[in-house]
Amino acid sequence: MAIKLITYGHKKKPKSLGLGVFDGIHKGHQAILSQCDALLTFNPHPVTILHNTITLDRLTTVEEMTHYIPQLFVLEFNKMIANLSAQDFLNKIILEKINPSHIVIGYDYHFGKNKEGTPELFKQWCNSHNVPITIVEPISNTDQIIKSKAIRTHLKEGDVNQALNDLGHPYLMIGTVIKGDSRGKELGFPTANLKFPTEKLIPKKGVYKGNITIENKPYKTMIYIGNRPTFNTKTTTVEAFILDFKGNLYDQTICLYIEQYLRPEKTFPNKEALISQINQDTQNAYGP
Amino acid sequence: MAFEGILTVNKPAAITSYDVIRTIKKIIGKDKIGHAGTLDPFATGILIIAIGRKFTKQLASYQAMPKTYRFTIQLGTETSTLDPDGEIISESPISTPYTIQSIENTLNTFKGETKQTPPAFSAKKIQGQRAYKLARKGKEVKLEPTTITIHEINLLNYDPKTQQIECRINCEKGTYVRSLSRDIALQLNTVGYTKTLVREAVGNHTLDTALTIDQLENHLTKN
Repeated sequence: MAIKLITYGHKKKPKSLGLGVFDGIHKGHQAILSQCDALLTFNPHPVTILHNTITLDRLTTVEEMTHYIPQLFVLEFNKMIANLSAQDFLNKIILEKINPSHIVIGYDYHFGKNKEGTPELFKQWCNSHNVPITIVEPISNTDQIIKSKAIRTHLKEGDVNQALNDLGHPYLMIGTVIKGDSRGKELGFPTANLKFPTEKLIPKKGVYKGNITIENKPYKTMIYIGNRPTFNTKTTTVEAFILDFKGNLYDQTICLYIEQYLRPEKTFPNKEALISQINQDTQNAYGP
Repeated sequence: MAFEGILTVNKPAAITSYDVIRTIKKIIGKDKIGHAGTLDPFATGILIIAIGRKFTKQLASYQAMPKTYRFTIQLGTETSTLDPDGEIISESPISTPYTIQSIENTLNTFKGETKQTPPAFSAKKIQGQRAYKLARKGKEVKLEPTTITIHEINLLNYDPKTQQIECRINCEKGTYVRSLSRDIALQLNTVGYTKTLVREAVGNHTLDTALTIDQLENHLTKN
């Protein structure tokens, strides 16, 4: 098994390299990112390789991560990498493959086989290799340290707006526009049906306010996440009603930013009631 | 006795594969010197050289070995030679950056056996004539596609600012990286040419054991 490392961005040696999974790019991660011009991340999420049974929903896919940093190193995480000793990880990957001028890690960064690598060990290695290292302390929101795991849970089934607050930025979802059943168009609200990678975390069902960026211009958007009770109750669909936009987006890759959770989904007795509610939602979100 | 044997040379850029042979001839004056597969002037890396009749007979077996190339594709621009030494013949500006996934998916379609049309500027023969001779005269060059085999193809880097993709492949003989870059770009709905090319290995012969041009004289006259 060879070491597979893909670089996104320029190929020059990074001045300041941050290491971690950074799933979510939450406020804690941002404390690291703000000091880096490059990141080293792992794909798939190491947890899925170390514990074969866990499937993990990604708050941030590798593609989405490229939006937050100019140079991204993606190391394919597999059993071979998981079994590298802490020293081998540092020498064979950090030094040999990347050779950064400065390292930035979080207070809880562990690496190498059985997590034997600690921030303290990293510090010792950096000292002997004359590479300055910064270890970043945790960021808390009131009394709890901000963690990706809690954000995942909240986005899926809890307090979505608290999760968005902990993220510190809108929730980015990069997906493609696929053909829907034109139901939205029939109601007078043409909607884009969006498809996301299977590992991407879809927030809980409901109505959201957000924006979609098309050719670098953001458009106010209402987002509906839910089942289609009339059709397949198992698949969750994400529909975006883009205000003030006319055009065909089929097959295009778009950046959807979820800004705020507005209300849970509701079933309506008839078409008119649904149209009235959509108008109300839009007014509540963006004014008349 | 003058040096005889197989050499792996790390060809630098800007010289032809035959220039390397000329350099060796100047040093040892031997007649029977050959190489096992041309590297274009813009390319660098392993050139297998055979010196002496006993060894030039082995060249075919080296030519047949699988090779590893690391190369960069410049997207959005097409050149006449499919490399940086030719003229720009078309530009296809890229509006939205590609995603890593879409590039990887495209590269994977070239894995295994596929059909490839060699470049017009190549040593391939058309009715006895070298294709590059016809291309230089401005004549239309129609080459038949051949079957190529790529064992491994990996994305190393994608720079959305310069729109360059860096890849590494391991392939069987007969693969033209210049054509591969062209075809990868086409699959990405644009044009492209090979900006850099390094032959990193021929069989098990890798760059770390290859001689530089400067080391040749010493190596050949030591015996």
